Amino acid sequence: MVDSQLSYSFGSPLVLFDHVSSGYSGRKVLDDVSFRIDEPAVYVVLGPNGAGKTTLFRTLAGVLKPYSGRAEICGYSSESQEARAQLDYLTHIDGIPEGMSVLNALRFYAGIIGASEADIDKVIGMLGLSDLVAKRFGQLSQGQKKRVSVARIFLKEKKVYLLDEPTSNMDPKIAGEIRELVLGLSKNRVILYSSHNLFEAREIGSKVIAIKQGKLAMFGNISDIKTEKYTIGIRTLAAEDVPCAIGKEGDYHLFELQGPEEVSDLIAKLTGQGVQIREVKEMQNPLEELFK
Amino acid sequence: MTSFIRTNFRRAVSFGSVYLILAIVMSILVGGIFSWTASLSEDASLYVASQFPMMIPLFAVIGSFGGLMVFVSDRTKGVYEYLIAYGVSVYKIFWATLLVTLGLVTIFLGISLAGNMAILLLMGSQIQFSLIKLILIYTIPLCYASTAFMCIAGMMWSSLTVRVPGVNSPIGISALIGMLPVMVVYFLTLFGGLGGLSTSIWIIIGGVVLLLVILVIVMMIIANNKMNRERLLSDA
Repeated sequence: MVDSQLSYSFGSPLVLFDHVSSGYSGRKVLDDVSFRIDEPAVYVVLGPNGAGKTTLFRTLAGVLKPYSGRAEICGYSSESQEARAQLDYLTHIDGIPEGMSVLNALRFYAGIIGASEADIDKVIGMLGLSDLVAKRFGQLSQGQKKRVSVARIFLKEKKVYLLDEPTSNMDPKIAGEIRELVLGLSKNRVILYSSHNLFEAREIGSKVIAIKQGKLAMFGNISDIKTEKYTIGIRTLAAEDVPCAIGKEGDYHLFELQGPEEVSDLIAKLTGQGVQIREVKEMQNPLEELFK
Repeated sequence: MTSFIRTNFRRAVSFGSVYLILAIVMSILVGGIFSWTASLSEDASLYVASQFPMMIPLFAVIGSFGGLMVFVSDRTKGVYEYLIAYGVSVYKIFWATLLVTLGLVTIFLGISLAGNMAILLLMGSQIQFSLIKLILIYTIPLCYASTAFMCIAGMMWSSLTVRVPGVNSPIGISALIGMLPVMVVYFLTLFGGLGGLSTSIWIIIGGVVLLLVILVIVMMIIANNKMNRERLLSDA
């Protein structure tokens, strides 16, 4: 599955990572990672905390200089202005000054990337930020901050998007809306979307780039990921017994499934039986099992 | 780049408004005390009145913290990771912060000098040529040079150190760094001659200002050629 023998004979892939080692202050976090992306799709970058997902993004975004190997966007070195013009990057932290109003924050970034007032108006409408534009960024809730942060990547169309945990700290409704927008973006574009939530990964992506301890553990179809056990917890509106649950942990009714692909069917079945579902979450990170 | 500097200047005025206002008020207050003292004795008027322009650079260092505060805040909040990804270089970020800081010094100097001159006139003193000369050759160059040095040293400190939250903020360190050359010149001036108007004193002032300018240029060159982009990433 891992393409470790990349040659230099091919043309210009949309994204190329060729034997890249990268990290901080001389300490390698990514070690000899290679993959190439030729077709537009959502590529979910999976890996436990500390695996090197953010380092991979920072290297592709040209923020970190690789110690060795080549990182390219559309045939250009990731550190070049040509590559930067092709990609947008959403970091795992908001990156917006707390004292700035939402509108000024969008103007600030629009000024840097050369987007217009019309582009700002478009993203305000798209992300439903009309009520927030006059507020200072520091006054917003975590979910609202993330929405504003995400809005930046829609200011200008790019070929490649790097989204580092874009739905963290979001309530399920907003997270779902963001995923919808990302899916809308993915037509004719490459999106690298990091997550450590396999359920979310299955929902949004078809391809997976799995990182384990700085090495490429898997590059391929997300459907190829098999887990031995997949337990989810469902929190309901009422404190009632839920059919088919194997137990309860706190407020969560536990269900053991074959994999994330069965979650949607289970939710449909339970709601059909009148169960009012408030939240669905993975009770253990299946990636830990995947990366054993 | 222009809009980035303009935006950050507005933010620096807002962030550092307390420091800027305090520095202006304190400099006028201290200047007022000197002017009042000078008005009491005609013999000492030139010497005493010449002290306030020599104190002003100390307050300029404090009043221009806003630029550095914006830099530290943006680094912590991850703003620079975006800017670097959009192709803004470390050098440009440093340069923008330096310009913003020098802009704050200009505001400070404009208000502080105008205030001090007004008080001097209100006290019945005359504005002598030697005072104007002192302001032009001592106060203004030292204000710009010491705050530029404070700013670049603070950015370097912030970028190169591993920070423990709340412990080694560069703001406090920078104040000491920026005030050090001002104090050195001040005491050399005092010991060098009454009023600091002898030829050797002008050489000392010119030498210190030149040294500060050279240090700022050297640190900017280091930032341009040697500073890794990762140094501006948030620790979060």
